[in-house]
Amino acid sequence: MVGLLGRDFEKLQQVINAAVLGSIYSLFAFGIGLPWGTMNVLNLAHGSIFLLCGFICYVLSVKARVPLNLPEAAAVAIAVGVCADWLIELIVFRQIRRRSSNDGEAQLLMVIGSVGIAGIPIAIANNVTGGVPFMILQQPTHSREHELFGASISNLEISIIALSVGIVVAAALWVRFSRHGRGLRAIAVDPEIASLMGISRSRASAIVMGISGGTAGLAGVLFGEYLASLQSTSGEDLLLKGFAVVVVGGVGSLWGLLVGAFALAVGEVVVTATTSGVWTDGVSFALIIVILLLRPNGIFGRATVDRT
Amino acid sequence: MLDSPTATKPQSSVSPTALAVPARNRKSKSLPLGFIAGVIAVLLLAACSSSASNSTSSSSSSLPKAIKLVNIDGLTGAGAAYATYIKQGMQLAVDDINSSHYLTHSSLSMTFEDSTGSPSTAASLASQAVGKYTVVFGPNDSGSAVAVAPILARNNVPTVFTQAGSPGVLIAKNIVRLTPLQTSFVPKTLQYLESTKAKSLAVIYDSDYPTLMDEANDMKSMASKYNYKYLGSAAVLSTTSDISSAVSKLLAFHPAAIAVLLVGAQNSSLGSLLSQANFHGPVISAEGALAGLLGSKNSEANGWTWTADWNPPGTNQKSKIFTSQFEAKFHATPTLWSAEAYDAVYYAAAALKAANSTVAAKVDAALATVGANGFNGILGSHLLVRNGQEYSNGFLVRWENGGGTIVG
Repeated sequence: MVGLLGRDFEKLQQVINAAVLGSIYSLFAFGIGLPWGTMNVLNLAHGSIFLLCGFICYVLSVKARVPLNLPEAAAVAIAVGVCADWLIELIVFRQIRRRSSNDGEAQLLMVIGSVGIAGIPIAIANNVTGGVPFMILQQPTHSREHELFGASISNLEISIIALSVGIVVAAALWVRFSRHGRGLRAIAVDPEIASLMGISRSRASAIVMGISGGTAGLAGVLFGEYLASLQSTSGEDLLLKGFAVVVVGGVGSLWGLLVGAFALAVGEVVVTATTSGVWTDGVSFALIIVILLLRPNGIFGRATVDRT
Repeated sequence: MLDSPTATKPQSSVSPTALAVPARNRKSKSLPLGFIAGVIAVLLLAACSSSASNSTSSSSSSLPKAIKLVNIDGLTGAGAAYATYIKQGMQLAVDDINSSHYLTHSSLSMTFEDSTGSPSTAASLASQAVGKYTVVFGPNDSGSAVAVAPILARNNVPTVFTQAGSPGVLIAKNIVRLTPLQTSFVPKTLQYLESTKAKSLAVIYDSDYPTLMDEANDMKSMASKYNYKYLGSAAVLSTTSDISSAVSKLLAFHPAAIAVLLVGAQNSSLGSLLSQANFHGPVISAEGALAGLLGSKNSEANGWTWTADWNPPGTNQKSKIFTSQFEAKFHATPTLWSAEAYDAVYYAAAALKAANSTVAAKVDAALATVGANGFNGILGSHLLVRNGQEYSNGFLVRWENGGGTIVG
């Protein structure tokens, strides 16, 4: 890959760029992949929850002038994300599950419901900001830069990589080895038998949605700071990428999700660095199609690994 | 003065009939015949004068009490900031026109339709607008503008665009564009670049915005004229949030100066990335950068310079009044998109006043006449519109600590 990227420091810099981008994709996609792979909930409102968390930080910090630093903003955003996803679970998903005649119908209705919910935070943010990009903190965080063989990497970028990969790896291990994780996997395989075995689906849903919302909040703050600003479309722009990452990695596999995120990021960076950026999305998604043709269940889909 | 030709027309249509009848009456020798002729003459005169008075009265008030206008633009989506600024400018203009009775007994009502930045949605909304609105204000992004222009041209709907600098927009006589072409500003920006003594340039641009692509091409082709070496470009899509790999590619050219032709949040992101990379050379841009930087009040973009047709508070008295009215109404500083939109609505109102009619053909003709005579707006006191296109020299604007200031 490095050989393709061009000159001197640019090679290493682009590797760093790909690592940061892959980390952002993995953290964001994790929030889609976890409920989808364990509870069969494809939550298409995840992008707008990501936006909502960054937007609430903006309202508090910039509009209400509450002096927040990055860790405090991250704590606020995580809390907002957890509460928002719990509300969605309680008001929408749980009601749909209760009223649907079968699982297939419930899954479809939850996708439709999440699309409806997605519009609300976007409309609010758009109305307040007028579509203008907004900073999530009063002042941008000036994180320290480190020189690395001519390339540079900031503390913020190191934090993004460490937190994203750390969270996904920890979650993958938790799902595989913990009691709750085994419960989730049981629900994913057969919800009815799992509930006969005493596993509470409602409780499991609340845990999964809470984790998903929290990571949306963390991603919103980290990404907002990394890009210097967000705008009302930021979550939707990421949603398609997150969805692709989960599908490529294999629904239900968090390890696959990690590989899918970095594969997409590397593909995008290589295309941007070597061709006109016009081709970035086209080539990246063509690669995804090729992967899915070769492995229809994704890189780590059910054919190789059952559930995480 | 513009009303006088239509006011005199009915009188000239009355007088020939009125003169002819007495002449024929004088030649008559028979009393009954004369009596009959007299009665006919009186009846004809009455009919003519009645028709004349109707005609006069209808010409003086042939504009309906309520004139419906529509603005189709992407109030949501990647370019929502620009559409929102445009909406605010239009709202202010409509309020001004109605409260000052600019159109005497007629008032304007403006509907804002959200195309979400999608050309297909914009085209659908344009189709629905045909026959429903007197004047259509088209979307500001070229992609959508090109999609709606053929529909409005085919149905001869008087149409005013702001921004939307792509070819394929001004395709009929019923369409005017009240923003100078962005590409016409490139030479002024490059003159500034030459004055900085920068000897090389690399460009980053959004490849899905035709106008920005055209500007990038112009910067490549004009390199020798303005004494710099064009090193290369990095293109991104406007939906790409993380542009760091494109910026690394850009910096690998080791340019003395950088041209930024991006939209929305990408501008503030680039400011941050260039600052991290310790790039201190001149940065030239396009007016679109303003909206991206305004929201973030980005001090890392200090020194970015571009050419624009307006910057608050403007240079003429009208412009200063507009700025203070805008600040009072929206509690924000107006942008050039609002100013252009304000002028666009006034321009359409001036055309309606001149046409004294809402009939499309008459409004189309008046749109051309108003522009050919020189329109007195906030963007300039004698703005010329030829073949539907507005012309202006523009001002150099520099970004400093959260705002743009005119520097030349």
